Amino acid sequence: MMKKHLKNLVILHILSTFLLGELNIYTHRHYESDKILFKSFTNQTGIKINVIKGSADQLIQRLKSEGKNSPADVLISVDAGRLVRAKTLGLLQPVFSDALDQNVPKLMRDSENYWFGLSVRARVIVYAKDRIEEKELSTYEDLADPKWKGRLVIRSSNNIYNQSLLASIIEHNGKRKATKWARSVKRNMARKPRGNDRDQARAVANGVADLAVINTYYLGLLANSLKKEDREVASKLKVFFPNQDNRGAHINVSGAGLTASSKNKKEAIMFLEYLTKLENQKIFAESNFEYPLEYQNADSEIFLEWGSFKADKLDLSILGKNNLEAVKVFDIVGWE
Amino acid sequence: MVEFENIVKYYGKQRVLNGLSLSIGKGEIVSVVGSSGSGKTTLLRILSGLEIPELGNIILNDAVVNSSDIFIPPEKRNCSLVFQDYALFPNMTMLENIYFGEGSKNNKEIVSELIHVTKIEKILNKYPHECSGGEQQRVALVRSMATQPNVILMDEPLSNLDFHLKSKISLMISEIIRRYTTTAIIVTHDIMDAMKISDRIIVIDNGIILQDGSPKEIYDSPISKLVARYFGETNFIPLELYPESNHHIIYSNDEEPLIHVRPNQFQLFSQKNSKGKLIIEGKIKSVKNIASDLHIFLECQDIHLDIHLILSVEKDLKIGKILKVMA
Amino acid sequence: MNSWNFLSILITLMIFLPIFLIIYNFNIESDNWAHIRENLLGKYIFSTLYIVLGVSVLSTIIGVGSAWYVTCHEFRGRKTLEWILILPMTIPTYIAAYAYYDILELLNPIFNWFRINIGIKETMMVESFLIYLIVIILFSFVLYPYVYLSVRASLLISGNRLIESAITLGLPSNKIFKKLILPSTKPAIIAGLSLVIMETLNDYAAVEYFGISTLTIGIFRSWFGMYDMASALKLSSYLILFVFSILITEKIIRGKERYNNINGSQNTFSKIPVKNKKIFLVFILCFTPFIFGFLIPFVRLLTWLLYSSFNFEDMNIVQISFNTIFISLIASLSIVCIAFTINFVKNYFNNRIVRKISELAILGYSIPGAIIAIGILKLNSHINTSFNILIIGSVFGLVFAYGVRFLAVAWQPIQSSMKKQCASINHASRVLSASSTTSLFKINLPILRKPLLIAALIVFIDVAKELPLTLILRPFNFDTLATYTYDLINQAQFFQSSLPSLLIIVISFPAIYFINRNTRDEL
Repeated sequence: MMKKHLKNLVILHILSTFLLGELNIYTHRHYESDKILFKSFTNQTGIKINVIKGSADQLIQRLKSEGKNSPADVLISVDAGRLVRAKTLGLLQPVFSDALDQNVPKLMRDSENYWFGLSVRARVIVYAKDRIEEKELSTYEDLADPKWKGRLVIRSSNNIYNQSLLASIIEHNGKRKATKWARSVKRNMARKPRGNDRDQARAVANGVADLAVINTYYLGLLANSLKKEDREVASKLKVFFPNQDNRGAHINVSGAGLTASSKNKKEAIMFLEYLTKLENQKIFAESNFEYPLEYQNADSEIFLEWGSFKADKLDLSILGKNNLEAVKVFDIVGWE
Repeated sequence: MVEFENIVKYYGKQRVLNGLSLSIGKGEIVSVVGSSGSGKTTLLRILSGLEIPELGNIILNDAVVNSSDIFIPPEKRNCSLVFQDYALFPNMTMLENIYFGEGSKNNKEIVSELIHVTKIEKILNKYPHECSGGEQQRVALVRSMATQPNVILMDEPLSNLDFHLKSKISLMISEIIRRYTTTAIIVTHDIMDAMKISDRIIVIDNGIILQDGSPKEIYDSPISKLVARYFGETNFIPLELYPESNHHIIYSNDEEPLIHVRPNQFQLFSQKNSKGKLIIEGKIKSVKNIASDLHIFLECQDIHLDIHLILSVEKDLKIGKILKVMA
Repeated sequence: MNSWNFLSILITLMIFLPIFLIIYNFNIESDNWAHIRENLLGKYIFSTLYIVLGVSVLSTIIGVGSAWYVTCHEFRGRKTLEWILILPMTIPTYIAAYAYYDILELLNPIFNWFRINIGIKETMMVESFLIYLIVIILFSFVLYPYVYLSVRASLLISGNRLIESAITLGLPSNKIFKKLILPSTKPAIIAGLSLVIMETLNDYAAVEYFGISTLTIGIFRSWFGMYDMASALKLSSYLILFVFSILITEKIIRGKERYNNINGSQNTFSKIPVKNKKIFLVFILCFTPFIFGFLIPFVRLLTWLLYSSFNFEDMNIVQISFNTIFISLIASLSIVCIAFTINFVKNYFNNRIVRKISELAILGYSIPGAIIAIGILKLNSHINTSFNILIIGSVFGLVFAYGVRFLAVAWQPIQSSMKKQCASINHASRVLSASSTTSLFKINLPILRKPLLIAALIVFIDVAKELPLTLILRPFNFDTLATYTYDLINQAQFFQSSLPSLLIIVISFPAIYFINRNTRDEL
């Protein structure tokens, strides 16, 4: 049986390299949605997709060490910062495609077309319905207010989502104010940071704190979980999009870029176009509850329930640029 | 056959061989005697190639095997070593052990003769752990001889054996070696064993040779107190007390010349044979009957010495009695 | 220099190269170092110290205590305990961490009450303390088998004699333990403990989840958060320094250990009978580590499995299990081959350079997997620029990386048994003019069959559990059970992750069984 299996593999391999082409992907995304999309892409185009999953930082390191011999064609990251970094290290190349220009809004891609967003994530406040009124909430800056003392949970600053959020605050308010903000938020925490965004939501539901800062799709996943406890957690929480009266809620993109070393450029571009296509964008939303690139027009039930929002228009490259500053600020205020 | 030239060997900071030179002819059976740590085993390991000396040349069978720029590895020296712990391969039968050595299969006739002489026919299909120390010893010997080595080296071949086996096996060893005219170097701490097997004895201490000679020479005229003591408890009497003595005299750098008299050289004083003999009188300090001999310690106040003597006479000798002996 | 020596040096240097590339970069200056030193270094060092100290104390108590009762006492259930006590070894720390992850959540009502009635600050302190405690307990209960195995082996060798002489002198059991067993097994305790410490330092996932900033976390924060490889490497140097000081202490203490007090007759191992009223107590005492280290996480995973919804036709779980077994087998075979060959060459030819240099090859175990990955990537990049080929991305690259990290695991048992069993025999073989190949295959291989097997099995378990190296260096479309579990946990699919987690544990079972049987028979 093994032999037959191997034989099939070999034949498939030969076929795919000579006739159909292949696509090698380094990705940080480990979601069901991607599996579905990769499969349907292969079905439609006959292009086989090979994947290595890992953290974007490590994948970038790997790309760098492989240099021009790298087999990778596409690098997918869960935040814009890492793509900016890959670009600065010379690991990506620009792509000029009308379809991509059309599918991906200017805000969601690199100004020089080195990378393109695939899905949008908003970092928002979730709060306990039974303890907090919506009108008590306003902005990220407000989280520093002493009235929230001991009522707030947020994950560790090792996480890129928090680093990006602080990077945006540094950009908008300056480093001095951002430091003050981080220090006050740290003082307001109900407990020391631990666990992921899902655990923060759980903590609010369990009464550890009254509000948490998380990415929206975590709440979507909880609401649609197979586990009853997860759905109960989601039912106790509500989403609040901060800063709607001024700059808008902090967003980031999960995105992809064509590697400088790509040997399957044509296929890779096809792939990027495929992922950004409107109908495929829905898969990100339906399966993983991430916002599509056209987040304003998202019409899934859960998005309608959360309500529409205004997003921060900040150039996403800034997030990568300010990342180091953000980490240092976290260190200085002792936000673990 | 074997030449050591100015061998120096260190273990860490400790110098175990100190510029030692030695030459051994073909067919000679040489015993190297020394206390533990004297460097005797190191000498064997250097000759067999298991250790590399810091300095010095070794010539084996007219070929240089070790010098500042030559090192022939052990497997190419054809110089067989019988280990103190026998080092039989536990995963092989005795027969497989015997035929393990390179070329041993070409010497089948000699091997079967060896097996016969050493009387190990019955254990050939057993494994080492199933056999006694004496049997293992003999197999180890046959295994080493089976390759027809240039020179056979033995490290304490008798030390792990019971008393009654010792003389039997030492006879066997010397017989086998003589029969096949192999050169042999045997290392032992027991000079009596050495005397039984070999025709030349080399006493070493602190990495240098103290004395080199036939067993008789070593026994009769030890070069120093240390060598003399290898044969057991013995007596050293200052020469100045008996300047006319015709006994063996030991001269050394840092002590007065001494007369060396072995305990069994003494006999009871009798006037008629006493001419030219060394005569000592003293009080019996202790008497012990060992086998058929009387071991006596005599306290001799006039020369400020205790004399150890062995007499083989049946006589009532009590502690405190005055005894007069001569040698 | 003959070809064997040359080959050994070549392999050693190849394995040392990635480690060298890490150490070599230590003194690169970086702008962020001052910032790290000022704000973070103290925190990293202290939390690492707390964890390491706690885990050391607790795992020593558990490991030594259980080994002492199970090896030297006679009571019902002893034989079963003897081997189930090794089982926690099959559970990777990160899986144990996830299995215990919500234990804190159970305490939420108490914390909430505390927070309201006593104060936030106080609650945080209590909570922090509890988190450290849980992490220490968690690590100790899954890592103590290293101490247990090493102490048990030492007791099997020399315990008999000690106990017999002590019993004839009329010493009570607790005095035998304090006055004889504890001092005489000290080298074994330290040897096992150093493995526990290295495994503790290797962990990233568990401490990350519980929010403890250890040095390992700091390395990643500098690398990923600050994009500052130089600082990451500098922090690594602190870690490596820490581990080396442990290793050197181990060497000094172990150096005093003498092998010649081995006393063979295992058949007549005298055991101390346990008094009737104490049997229950002793049993509970020895059963507890098994409960916390194995049973609870295992049962937890089993219940998750019931909730999980695996579609077996769609799932490539079979393929993934096959991958895991395949790569673990290849890795353990190659690693044991290399460890065996180099040790043989070292022992047989006794070449000074080989003797000195071969120690370099086993440094990898003291360095966390994720840092080794940096070294391998660096090596890859050098080779890539000079020879235009990639070493990573293939099964070979992965096996090479495992070799760098796990050579020491195979090295120790092979080295010590070769020293004990083959030293004079190899000399005998040489003076009988046998070729080195004959000695290798006809003497050393058959004699060392069992220690080689044990070494291979331990490496097998380690590779099957390995995560960080596999994650970053694997070929395309290549998942092991460990990476797959990690992937699912990342998606918070805890139920789904139970199957691969359980499979990691289950494929290690036969290995554990053989290790137990062979360590018992051999001594």
